[in-house]
Amino acid sequence: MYFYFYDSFLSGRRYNKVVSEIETRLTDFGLEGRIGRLSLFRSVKDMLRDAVRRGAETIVAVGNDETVRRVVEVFPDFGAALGIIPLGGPNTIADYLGIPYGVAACDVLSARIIEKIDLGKINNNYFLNSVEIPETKRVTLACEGRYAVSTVGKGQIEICNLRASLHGKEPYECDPRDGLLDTIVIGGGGSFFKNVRRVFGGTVPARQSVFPLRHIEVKSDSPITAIRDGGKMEEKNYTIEVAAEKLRMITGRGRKF
Amino acid sequence: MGSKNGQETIIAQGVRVEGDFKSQGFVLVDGEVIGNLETESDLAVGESAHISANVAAVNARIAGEVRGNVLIKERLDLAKTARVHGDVMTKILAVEAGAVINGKCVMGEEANRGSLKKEMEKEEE
Repeated sequence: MYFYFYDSFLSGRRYNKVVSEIETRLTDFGLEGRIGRLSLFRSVKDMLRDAVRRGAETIVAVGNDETVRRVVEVFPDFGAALGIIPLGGPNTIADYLGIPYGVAACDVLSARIIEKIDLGKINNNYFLNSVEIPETKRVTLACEGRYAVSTVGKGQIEICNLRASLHGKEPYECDPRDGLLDTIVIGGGGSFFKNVRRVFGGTVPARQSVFPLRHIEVKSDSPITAIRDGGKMEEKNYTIEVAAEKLRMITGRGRKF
Repeated sequence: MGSKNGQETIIAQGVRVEGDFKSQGFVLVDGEVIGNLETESDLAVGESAHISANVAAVNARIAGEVRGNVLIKERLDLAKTARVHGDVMTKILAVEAGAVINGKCVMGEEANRGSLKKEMEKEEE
């Protein structure tokens, strides 16, 4: 059984037509199910818990990257599969997973290609795409409990499961099935314009370091901002680790991994 | 050079790694490493790299500075800008004119492999 989680912005008039078309298409495919709309009075966790209790085996997030983030942060322990119907924007997560915009996403739901993918966890909060620590002075990463990584002067850090936003000419895309989080560190020094060719194709800026890791500790004397799939956190210490094969995700054939 | 299993690590300029660094995939160093650096795959050390560590890899190309022992299972290439201050052990060694090695050099098959590897392990303890 399906449960469709509609973000609140879909109540606007501009989405009436496309939502109606989507619902018709889902009925044509025999994928109709219960609908829940995000509101001020009900938490996402309660809505999804109720849906799973009532027999939903697939939860579909209808909305943008922010919608997906809200679902993912409470969803992984429910055991259901997750799908996306991207509407509004930005939809970088759906794009990476090969899910087309709007009505065409219903075809992907119908094909039901399910991949078990990794999630990341930061201070016990799940994330699907990445955690970004914007420009900051002297942050040290303790990696796998064996070595420390630090930058000369100011640095930027992004811990990536799907696709990084800190990148050079080409997007940096990770494999969410490898049991690792690609930790990208950009430090001071070196040429900003020079690129280094990667072994497996593509290039990265010469100042961009990449560490594939399972466990990272970030420590600082003062609170630092971390942006988890678009949502802000402010803590002195962060523990970031991979939750391997945690999420059953419906993906499209055009996925990037 | 390539990676066994698709993982690659890049330590760029402006980044320092300190401690016991171990990898299963290809490692490219253009920054600073202090401690120990080991990979089950191949290693490339760029011109701007500064490594104060014992280094171990399957194949390696060094164009920067290494202060420590270098243990390469198959082939080691030293570029003209390479400066190695430590002992080197490898099956095949290729050295460009201008490269610097200040240390013992052991090459070829298994005959002397055990003794230098043991010395390096003792130093680590």
